[in-house]
Formats: sequence, C-alpha cells, structure tokens
Amino acid sequence: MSNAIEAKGKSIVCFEIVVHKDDMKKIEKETVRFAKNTKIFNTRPVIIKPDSGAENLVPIVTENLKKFGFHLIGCQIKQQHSESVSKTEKREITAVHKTIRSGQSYEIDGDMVLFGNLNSGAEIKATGNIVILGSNSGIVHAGADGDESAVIFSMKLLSPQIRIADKVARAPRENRVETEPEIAFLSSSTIIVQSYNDWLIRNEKLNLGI
Amino acid sequence: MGKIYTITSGKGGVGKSTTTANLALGMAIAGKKVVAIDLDIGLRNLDMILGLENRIVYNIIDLLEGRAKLNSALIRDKRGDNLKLLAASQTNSKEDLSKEKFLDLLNLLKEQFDFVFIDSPAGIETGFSNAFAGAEGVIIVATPEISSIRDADRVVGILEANGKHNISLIVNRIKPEMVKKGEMMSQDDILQILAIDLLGIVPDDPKMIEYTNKGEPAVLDKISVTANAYINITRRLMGEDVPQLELKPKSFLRKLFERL
Ligand SMILES: Nc1ncnc2c1ncn2[C@@H]1O[C@H](COP(=O)(O)OP(=O)(O)OP(=O)(O)O)[C@@H](O)[C@H]1O
Ligand SMILES: [Mg+2]
Repeated sequence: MSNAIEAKGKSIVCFEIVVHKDDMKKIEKETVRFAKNTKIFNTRPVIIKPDSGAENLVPIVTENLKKFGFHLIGCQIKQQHSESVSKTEKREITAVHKTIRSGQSYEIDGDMVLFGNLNSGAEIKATGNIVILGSNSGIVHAGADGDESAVIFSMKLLSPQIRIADKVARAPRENRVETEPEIAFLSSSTIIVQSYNDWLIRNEKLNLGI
Repeated sequence: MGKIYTITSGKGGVGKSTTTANLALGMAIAGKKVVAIDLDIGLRNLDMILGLENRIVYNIIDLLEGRAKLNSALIRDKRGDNLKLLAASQTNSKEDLSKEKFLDLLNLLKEQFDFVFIDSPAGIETGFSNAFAGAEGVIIVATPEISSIRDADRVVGILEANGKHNISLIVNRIKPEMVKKGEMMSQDDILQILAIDLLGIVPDDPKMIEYTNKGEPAVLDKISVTANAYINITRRLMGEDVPQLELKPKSFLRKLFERL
C-alpha cells in the first residue's frame, strides 16, 4: 500500500514530509493519522516537499500539521514546476545536504536550508531566510539584498557574527554554550537573537512563505 | 598495484612528518614494500625522523631532473629492505618540482611498491596541491586545537573540490587526562566538526623528541601505546577492521611502572 503522505529523511533535527499527488480527502485523513503517529516529533522543524502536481495539497497538510503543533519552516517545491506556483504564496528553498567548510561560501537567491554544519570560517549569504539544522559556527547573512524581514534559524548558534539586511551583530565575547534552537531577526533596526520556542509563542504564524 | 596516500594538515607542526615516518616504517615491519616521499622541499626532515639523513646522496629534485637514477635516489632504510625514502631537496623551493614529472614518478612507484606515503608541506599552496594530486587516499593529521581543526576543515574542503573523497583523519597528540577533564577536545568533538572518517588516534607522547633525536620512530618502541596506535592505523590501511584505541588517563601504578 502506498501512502499519499510520508516522512522522509527523518533525521534528528528535521522532518521532510513528502506529499504525493492524491485527492484532498485522502490527504487530509492521512495527514491527521500521520500527525498522530509522529506526534513525539512535533518539536522538530518540518519541511514540506510536494511532488510536482501536488503543490495545491500543501495548505491542507500544513493546516493539519499545525493543529498538532508541528513547526513548519518551509516548503520545497521541485524546480522545474516552479512556474505553475505563484511566487508570493510559496517561496523556493535551496536545500544543501553537506558540511560547509572553512573557506567555502554560498550565495543563494531565496531561502536556504542547510542539512549539515556551517563550520567556522565558512559563509552563507541568502536574499531570503537561512535555516541551519546542524551547528552554525560560520558567518551568515540573511536578507542580503536588504530584506529586513529575513530571519536566521540555527539549531545550535555559535557564529561569531550574523547579518540581516545591512545590520551586523557580533556574538558576545564569552563562549556560548547555547544548545537550544535559536532565531535571529530584525526588530527596529536591531538584530535580536531569541530562543526559537519563545519566538514561536510570539508569532503563532510563521511568515516563511507557507 | 600499490596505494598512494598523502599525509597533510593545513596547519604546520601538527605531526605530518612524524606520522608519515611511523606509518611507512610500521607498514614495512608488517612486510609491505613501502616508499616514503618527503615533499616538503626546502624544509626536509622526514630523513631525520627516520634516522637516514647521513645516507642522502640524491633527492627527489635530482631524480625528477634526471641527475639521478631511481635506484640511487631511493634511500634504503637502515632497518631493512622493505622501506625506501625519497628525500626532499634542502636547497630548492616548492616551485622547482614539476607536477607532471612527479605524477609520472608516482605511476612508476605504484608498480614497484605496495604503499607510497607522501609527506605534504604545511599550507594550501603549490606544495600541498602537488602532494595530493596523485593520491588515492588523503590522511589528514590534526591536533585537538581549534586552529588545527579549522585548517584541517579548509583542507578537506579543497580536497573535496578537487575530487578527492577518500579522506580520513588521524587525531594526533591527544592527552586523555585533559580530555577527561574537559580541557581538550575529544576525537568525537573533532569528528563532529570535520565529518570525515576516523583513521586513528595517537596520544601525545613526551618521548617523541627522544625518538626523533635518535632517528628511531615511535613505532619501533613496540610496547608503547604510541607504537600500538601507529600499528593499528597501518592495519586499518591494509583493510583490517581494528577497533579504535581507548586512551585512558594514566593510573598512578602505570606512571610508577614507566619510571622503573
Ligand atoms: N604524538 C606526538 N606526541 C608528542 N609530540 C609529537 C607527536 N607528534 C608530533 N610531535 C612533535 O611535534 C613536532 C612537529 O612534528 P612534525 O615535524 O611531525 O610535524 P609536521 O606537521 O610535519 O610539521 P611541518 O608542518 O613543519 O612539516 C615535533 O617536535 C614532533 O616530535
Ligand atoms: Mg613536516
């Protein structure tokens, strides 16, 4: 039996949920069943990956997952079908599955999700949001084209410096031992770093393009 | 066909030459035909660690420029026939080595030896890229310090970008007492950052200076933990599945023992 909705690449840090093309009713039913079955994982960030042709089912899935407390951080849509999806509704995410090492740098148009570590001496620049699911010891610049609403999510934030739009924040001098997921955002022209959970409470609705 | 391994690190002084000497000699003792190449042109010291400096007549530049035949440039180890050293030139610079000729030489050596170990110079310049160009495997040596790990990370990135994916790590100079107290990174901390395979760990050994001064690498001191660490690594390179050493902080009794 093939499921219309399944978890893929279920790592310690993040869920990728694949949505296959199917009818709405079945998707809704399966999402609820899926959410119930995997409820223990609902503190993990979730990325939704619809098959091509299944993009229209994403809202039903997200709606139902949110009811069960899942933290949706984005939606990854297959490149070749991007024209069929309105840009304002669903922003594209570049997913990178590797360790980014000292001396390496990435420049991304749109949002970026890194399934790996950003090591010390490495750099990421994105015009949109940056999500780092490994530990983050590099230099990150979100909203590189000036988007002040861009955020930086890190499972483990150890960066010496983070940038959002044209603002720069340096890490405090003392060694950070933070192991809680954190998010950095701009608020009245100042970069604020906050625990992800606290931030979620403040913003029930994530404005990451879903 | 022999296997070619390059030993490199990024940061200088972390133990590349010491590791090369011990792995090459350890392999030779295990019965393999080995050649160790000192590619740190201008700063040679692999010969000294192996205790062979007084045997050098020709070096690798002499060989590549046709002033010496292969057989006279390969220095025979004083302990046996299995190990040969190809010494660096002290009077040349890294740019004097022709990469094409060097790669041709490696192809030739591969036919005659089971293992070729290349001791790379520190840094990420020409000398380093010559050193890994012909290698099937790259062994990164790093010490448990931030600067060493960061340089190792940089080197792994460059290697991957050059299509080298058989990369493994030796963590050198581990001090179990300090790791236990949380004052030194453990091999697990390091592996988490570097995300490459662990080939082995080698303890910090105060006798290392003595071994080098005598020209008798640690691997010859058979009962020592350090020799065991190197032997385990050579066995892994030969394809054996050897569990990682468990380095324990020295007990009082062991300390007493060693003084006797
Ligand atoms: N496991 C060890 N325990 C104690 N001392 C060590 C150990 N490994 C290396 N050393 C010492 O560290 C110093 C540097 O070692 P070595 O010359 O092998 O490093 P290297 O990486 O080849 O340096 P370079 O970059 O200059 O070529 C030497 O004095 C050596 O004896
Ligand atoms: Mg050296």
